[in-house]
Amino acid sequence: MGYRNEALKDQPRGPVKDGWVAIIDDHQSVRSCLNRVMRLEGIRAAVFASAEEYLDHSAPTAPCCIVLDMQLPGMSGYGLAQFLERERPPLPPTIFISAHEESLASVEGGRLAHGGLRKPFEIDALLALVKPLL
Amino acid sequence: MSHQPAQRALSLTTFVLSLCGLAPILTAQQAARPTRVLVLYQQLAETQPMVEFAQQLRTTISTELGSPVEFYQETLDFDRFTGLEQSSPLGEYLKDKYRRFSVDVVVPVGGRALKFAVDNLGRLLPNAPIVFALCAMPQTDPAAQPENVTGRIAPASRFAPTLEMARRLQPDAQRVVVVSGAGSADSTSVAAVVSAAATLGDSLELAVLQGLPLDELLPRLRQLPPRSIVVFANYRLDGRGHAFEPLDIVGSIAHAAPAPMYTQLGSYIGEGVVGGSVMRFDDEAVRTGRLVVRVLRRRPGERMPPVELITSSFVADWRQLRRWGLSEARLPPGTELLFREPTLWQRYRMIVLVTLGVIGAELVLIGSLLVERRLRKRAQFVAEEQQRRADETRRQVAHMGRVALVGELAATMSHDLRQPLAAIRMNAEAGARIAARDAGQFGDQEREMCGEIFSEIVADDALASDIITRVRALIRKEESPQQPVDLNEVCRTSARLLQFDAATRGAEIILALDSGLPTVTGDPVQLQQVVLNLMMNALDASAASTNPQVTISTVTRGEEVEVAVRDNGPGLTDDVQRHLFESFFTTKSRGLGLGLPIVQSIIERHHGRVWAENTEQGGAIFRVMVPGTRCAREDPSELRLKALKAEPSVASEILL
Repeated sequence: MGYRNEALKDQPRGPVKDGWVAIIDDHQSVRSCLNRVMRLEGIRAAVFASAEEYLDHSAPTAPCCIVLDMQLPGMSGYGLAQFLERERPPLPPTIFISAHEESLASVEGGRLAHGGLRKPFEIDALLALVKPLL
Repeated sequence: MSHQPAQRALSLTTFVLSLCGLAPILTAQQAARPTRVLVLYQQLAETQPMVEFAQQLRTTISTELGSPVEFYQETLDFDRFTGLEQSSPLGEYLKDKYRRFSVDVVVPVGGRALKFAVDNLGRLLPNAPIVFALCAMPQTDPAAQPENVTGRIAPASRFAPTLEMARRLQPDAQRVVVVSGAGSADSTSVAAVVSAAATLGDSLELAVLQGLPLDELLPRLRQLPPRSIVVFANYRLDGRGHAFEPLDIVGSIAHAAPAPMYTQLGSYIGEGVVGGSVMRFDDEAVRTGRLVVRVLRRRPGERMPPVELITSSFVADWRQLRRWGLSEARLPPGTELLFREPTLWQRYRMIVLVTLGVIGAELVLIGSLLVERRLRKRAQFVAEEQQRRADETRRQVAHMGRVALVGELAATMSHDLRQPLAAIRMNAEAGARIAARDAGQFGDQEREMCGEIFSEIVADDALASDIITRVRALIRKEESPQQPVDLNEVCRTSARLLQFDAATRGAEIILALDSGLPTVTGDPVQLQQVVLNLMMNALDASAASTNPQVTISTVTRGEEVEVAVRDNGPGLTDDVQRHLFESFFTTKSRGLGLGLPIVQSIIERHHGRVWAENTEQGGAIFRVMVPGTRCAREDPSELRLKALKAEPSVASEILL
């Protein structure tokens, strides 16, 4: 089924930092909220509803950072990270987010994870992780 | 005298001739004539016992002999005519009377008649045999009779068995009282009783009331002490010279006596006498008749049959036993119990049997009906009990199922809830960040963002409460409060709740609501639940198309209300349509698959139905039909309007 790529919607105001952030989460509200937040901060962001969507997209540059939900339909978040590392290296710094404590615990400290956040997380915490990467 | 030799010769010739003339007549008469029996009654022949005796005798002789018999009887009546026994004129009279009737047998009834016959009639009827009846020793001595005499004789001590019977019945008796008249026959009887009593050798007192006239006898009897044995000997003549037929007075004497009375003649039984060792006249008549026939059938020269002994038998009157309180068990064995009143059973045996039969049948019928009723009631009760148990079990299973489900759902629910809650939190935070900006940094874009944030928060909250309501609906067992619900309002609210979600997807929600829609009775929250769920499904389905559109319509259909949610998505495949309302069937990757089953459950509880079809345009339409509230029309003008409308009116509201 189709999807809407909001990647190109509502470009951020103000000084735009280089690079863009990929946000992959199957929940509509999370995507739209994070998109809004990024826009407020003047960060360019593209949201994807599934791992497959991300893989299908074509962008001129790789994202500076991926905010990746671990529970995705189809290919899981961690599976996507592994795939990207294997097939399209280098893997951009990936911040795993999840509602499950256990899932985060298994990837934190791992070489694929730049960071991990448990939902609901504070926006400041996310921005703190993301901003330095841009 | 010159005629004498001639006269003598003439007389002799006449005599010889007459003899010769008579001879053939005599022979002829002898060859053809019936048997002639002459019965001589010592006493009256007209008394009842004698009449019966005579009748039996005649019948027996006629039947057994087989040839015609002529009976002649003479009543000697020696009781009243006491001197006649020795009267030769009586003998001459009888001889004269029967001169021309050759009698074949003479039957004297009684000892005195026998003596008379032997003494006086022997010369008349030299060859006629004599068969005596109802004679008794010692008055008649069977050994002292001539050769042509035989008969039936009663033993001397015939009172002895009677007294024995009395002693058996009355062991506590202290005296024997003998009642008799003044005549010679009476005296003979008394003597017999006395000698019988003597042979018994008891220490019983013996009192004799002999020869008292009735008017003296009866009072004397009444004065007797109770523990006595009264014996009726005979009463043919009272002290004043009146003759009696004992049968007539036995009753009075028996009833006057203060103690049981016994007798030796069968004919007296039934008059108030308890019983005795009796001679029965009817029996005797038969036996005497047979003896007579045997005598008549003798071949010439054969001797007479020997004298037969009359055997008496014990007879008792059941009524008298009862009167005196005497026990039947004490009777001598072989006693014939007369006048036994049949019990109710014996008398009305057939009626009683039939009645008992009918009652029995009725009882059986009633019993079987009652049993059947009880069985039916029991079966009914068991069936109801089983039904109740089945219902209870079903309810419990459903409940447990729901509870188990909820246990499973709890995990998924909590996960599902986290998403909208997290989104709310993040949106709120984002909103706070915007609000924290300085005035210069708060522009149109920021304001627009705030609007988006708040509507997303509302939508997420609706989603969260939707999830919670779903689970609550599963575990709720009781009926929710019923109230009138306006489904148009429900649809509008749902559309409002989902408008931003729809906007985000770029979907259009169209409302086509019937303004005259009647209310339905039900749970507003649950109905809201239904519409929300259908709309969310429709939004999901139509997301695939380029111009997603979800139409909600309400229509009045007769007594029912229809809510339809249509999408312009790909529609339902056959497979999907089959499993649409199954639990855990979902086309969504993250769906629980419980939305539609719950929708169906809610609608069914509202006495409605829900189903899905594909539209001509290719999408799917979900229809819900619920019965309207009876008498729920508030506005009479609305009623009139509705009556006029043939088609449901549609007021379109378009929401973006």
